Amino acid sequence: MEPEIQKNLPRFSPEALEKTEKIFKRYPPEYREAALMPILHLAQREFGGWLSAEVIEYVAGFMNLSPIRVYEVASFYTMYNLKQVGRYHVQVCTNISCWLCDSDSIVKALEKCLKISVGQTSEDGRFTLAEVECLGACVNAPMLQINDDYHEHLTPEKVVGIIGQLP
Amino acid sequence: MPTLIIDDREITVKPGTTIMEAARSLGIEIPHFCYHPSLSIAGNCRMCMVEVEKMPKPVISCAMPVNDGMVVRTNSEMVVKARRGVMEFLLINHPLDCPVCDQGGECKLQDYAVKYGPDRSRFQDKKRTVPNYDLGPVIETEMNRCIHCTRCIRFSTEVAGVEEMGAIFRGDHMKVGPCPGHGPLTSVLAGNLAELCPVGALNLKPFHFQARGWELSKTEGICEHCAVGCHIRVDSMENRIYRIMSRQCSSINLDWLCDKGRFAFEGMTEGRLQVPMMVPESGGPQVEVTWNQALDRVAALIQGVAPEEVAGLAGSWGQGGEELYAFQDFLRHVVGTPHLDHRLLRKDFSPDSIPLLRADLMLNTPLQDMERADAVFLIGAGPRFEMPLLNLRLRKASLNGASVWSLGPRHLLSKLENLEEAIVLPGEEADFLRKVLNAMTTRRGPKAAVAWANALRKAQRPVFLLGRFAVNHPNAETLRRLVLAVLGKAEAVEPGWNGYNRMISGNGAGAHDLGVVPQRGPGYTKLGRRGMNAREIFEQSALGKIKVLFLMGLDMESDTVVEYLAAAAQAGTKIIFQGAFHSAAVDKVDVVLPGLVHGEKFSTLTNCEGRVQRSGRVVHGPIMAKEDWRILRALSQRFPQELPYDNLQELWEAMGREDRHYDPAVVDSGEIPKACDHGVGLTEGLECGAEVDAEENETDRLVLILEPSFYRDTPMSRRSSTMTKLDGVEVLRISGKEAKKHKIVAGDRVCIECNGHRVEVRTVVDERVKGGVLLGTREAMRELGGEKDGFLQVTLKVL
Repeated sequence: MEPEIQKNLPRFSPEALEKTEKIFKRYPPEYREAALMPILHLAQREFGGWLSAEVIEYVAGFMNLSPIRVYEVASFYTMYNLKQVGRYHVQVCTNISCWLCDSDSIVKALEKCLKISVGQTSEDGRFTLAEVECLGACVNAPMLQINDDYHEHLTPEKVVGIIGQLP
Repeated sequence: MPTLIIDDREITVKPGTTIMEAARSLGIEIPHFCYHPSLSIAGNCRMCMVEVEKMPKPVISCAMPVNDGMVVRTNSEMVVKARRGVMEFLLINHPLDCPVCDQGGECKLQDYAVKYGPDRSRFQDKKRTVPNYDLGPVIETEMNRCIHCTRCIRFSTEVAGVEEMGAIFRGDHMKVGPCPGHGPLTSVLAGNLAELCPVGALNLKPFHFQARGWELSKTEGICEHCAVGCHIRVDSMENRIYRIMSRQCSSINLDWLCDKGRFAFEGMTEGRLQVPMMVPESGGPQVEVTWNQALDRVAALIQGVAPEEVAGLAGSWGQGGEELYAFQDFLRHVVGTPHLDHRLLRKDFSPDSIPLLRADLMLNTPLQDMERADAVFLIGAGPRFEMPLLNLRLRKASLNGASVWSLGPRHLLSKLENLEEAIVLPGEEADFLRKVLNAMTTRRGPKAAVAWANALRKAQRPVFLLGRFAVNHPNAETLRRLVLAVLGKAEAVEPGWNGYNRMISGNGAGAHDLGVVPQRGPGYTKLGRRGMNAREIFEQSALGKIKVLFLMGLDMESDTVVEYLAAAAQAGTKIIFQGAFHSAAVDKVDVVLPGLVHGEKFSTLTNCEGRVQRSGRVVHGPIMAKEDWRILRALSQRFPQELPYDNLQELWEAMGREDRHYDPAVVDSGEIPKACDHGVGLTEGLECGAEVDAEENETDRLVLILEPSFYRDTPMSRRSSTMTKLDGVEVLRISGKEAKKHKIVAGDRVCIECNGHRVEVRTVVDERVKGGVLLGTREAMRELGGEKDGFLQVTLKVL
């Protein structure tokens, strides 16, 4: 039988709802589900930088899709976070160009400075450290991304400074 | 029409056929995992590669359409080498645990590994591990064994319409599974996932570690649980049924089977009647007796009263044609009473005066044509839970663009696309159909009715389905005639396309055919005199006018039956029960004759299309229990006139003489009776029977609609442990408006009262239940005493 679960799911704010309208307009009405990826991105911004099971269920209901279809997409792409991330999501590129420019030392410096290793979140919930693939800034390697901002031409010392400057 | 050569054999096929299909029609088996004839093409297992001349690389035959002049080799050196490569990759992450795997012996991966696989692995690294999931009581998972064929994903998405399985993550992290935070699978077809899985990743939980495939003897049979009559394969060993699998039948169940058909058999050994019992002459509780004593007593009881004072009631579920025929033969010709019926839940008996014929009672559109319908109209029907395999055909139609229209007191969880629902108060259905009929000529009326009329006018192949709610409706005959009138106006009761369909439960079709009704004899022969119908029999026995009541295979846990029988016993009516399952009500009857269930005897089942199918014996029942028709045969020896058949063959021939559909030669030939034999649209007037008006809801009384729970609506399924686990929480559905009025929040427990009975139940606020209507399961509301004439009027109190 159908589950009789009546959950209190998170909801988009009115501003976010306005944004979804704009997103839907980008796609032909018969391919409404094509808007899933930008909507998931919006949801990730809205609900704390990651997609919890509840958020996925909400987005599924919002898009009129089944949760598994949304979860398939969310799990396929690494830039949707399925685990809770800290306030600052520190993403270090370790792909070929950055690696050749010694991104390993950047990772080491970050691990030392944040006292967490790659894939972990600091105890105070401020930082999550992640290794990522090429972010398209090879020309200024090595680089890292903190939330939406790129930081390029890095050295281990510079990284510590960047972290220290964060509010 | 392209002609090609496969393994030196020439074949001409339709354009668009794939190499795989062409080879299959030649009887050439190409190894495959992801290909399934009833699912879409995925082409991801790469096992079905074949060599095509002038193509540089092997191609996957399941996705490659044929071309004229193709030369295909399915067993060349290149192909064998390619298969070996594929097998090596598939086995990289597959555990080598065949000895402890349920699929062992029936596993394609195992078979192909023996045939094409390398004898040892070159893979040195760690194998991938995947967590298992709890998918509920039907499916056991061992996801390490998954080879990502995606059959389960395609089945649940395309066929069942319950999107619960998916491919999550990607690349070598990809795994097949449900969404996090998922509950048990909600599909009524979940068992098919295990059957589809080519490896041991998804197994049947109830069958887990029970037996090995090769130990089981496999018997072909027919499912009895609903009137679709799915073909099944019963696997048994040492007088025990271990599992039931589907058997391919393109005109009925395709490759599928619902969970009830698959697991309800577990209940067949529980709570069975073992020996004949009777209340001694001196009174008191029942005692065990011999068959002779019990039959003598029954004969004495029947001969002690006038034939007119004897009546018989048969259940429609679980009775084969054999005992139904013998039952009416015994009552009509041996006892000499015209009072017999099987329609226990029916409220409207008005069509008995102009008896309905075969075409009026069953599906007129063949099951396989249902998927060609371009507009489906459900009148009080919930096909997903009444006949799951019929719903699959409707779902196919809806996916092909058919619009679906439903009329009833609640919304449907039907998994049909393009569904438009007209939710009306119980009793207003006829009114709505009248408006549709009117709108078909005038194009005017309420919006919903005009929409129906427009859809009907556009439709070339409309299908109307009168469901259980409509058949057992107090205005059933009016609804039926209105449907005929509407179809007549749409010119859809024609020889080319007949859209009139009435759903029937259990072996009800067989009971009608073989004359277990008071108004017609077997084969719909006219009778000199009409007997009492089920309602009258119950009422007269409560008044003491019927002195002996012979019950065969009734559901003795059904609320209506229990209440009536208690009243009959009070009035001193002697009750004889012949059946298989014990219950509290069985303890109170005068004589108990233990019978057998489906699977323990030969039974002839008639499906909703009127197709007669025979199912054999797989196991033996309780040692003292007897085949039902033989009980009646033995009983008739105590009367002046005996039943004139001594063995099954003679009985089948007798049945065949009455109705040619039951002729052994016709049954064995597998001939499908022509379903479109309704002929004319409507001959009688439109109105019929007493009109039940929708109650005006000024008081705080509400209409309670009782629906049987899908998993527990028969004595056998109620006793099945898997069915019990699958059955949802018993809830009461209430509309938001009504909830507000009564200050109910979802999840509140409420108490409903009706005629002095009361029941406590949890509520669910369901916006699409009509205001003024409550919706409950029959199982939860048993204490309310069941429906008799109209609908139950109840009062509601918040606890």
